[in-house]
Amino acid sequence: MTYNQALNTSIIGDRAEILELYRPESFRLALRITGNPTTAEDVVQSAYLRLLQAPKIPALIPELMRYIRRTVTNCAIDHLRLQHPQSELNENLPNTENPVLDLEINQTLNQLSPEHRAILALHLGEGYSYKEIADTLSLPMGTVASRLNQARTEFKKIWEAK
Amino acid sequence: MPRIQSKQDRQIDALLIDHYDRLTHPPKTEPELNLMPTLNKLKAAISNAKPANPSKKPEPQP
Repeated sequence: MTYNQALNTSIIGDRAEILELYRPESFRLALRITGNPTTAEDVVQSAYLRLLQAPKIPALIPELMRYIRRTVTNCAIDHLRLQHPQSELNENLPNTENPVLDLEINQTLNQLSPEHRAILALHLGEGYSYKEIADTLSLPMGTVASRLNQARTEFKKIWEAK
Repeated sequence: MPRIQSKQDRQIDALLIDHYDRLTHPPKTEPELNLMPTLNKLKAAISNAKPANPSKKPEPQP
């Protein structure tokens, strides 16, 4: 192993340790966007692979957290785009205190676009403000507001038609 | 900027907030058993069952 290879291994090792600290938060976000623990695990794996392979990640904690959040959100959106809406994963009763209601909500959310699901999870699930979401996703605040409004309207329409 | 929400919007928000909360706080599959009180009771029962003076021989029956 050359000196450079050893140095890279050491840097990647440190990065993996740092990222590992944020795995529970990353899983929670992925679970809220996808609605399924198995998919959420896959999302976190893909996101962490991207983060480990990225040439550079932010050194400061707030920026790093935003960067991780953005990567996890983008990976979750990618997974949802590839996942068939009638996938078996979406028909399983979730392990929650109210599985029947949560399955119905998941089925409604499955009919929304991945971007709308992500923005609902970030705002209503994680409690981020419009500004925090705009900073995380590099979107203008107006886009966040209108996307959230569209997502809510779409959800309400499908939910009430059930 | 955030717009003024209708009552229906707030109901939908509350429904989703509770849903996201339940998703990330699944119910415990097995009850957490605390065996210490039972163990302590057993220990007490065993110590009470011991004779007060084990060296003392029982009196002969008539």
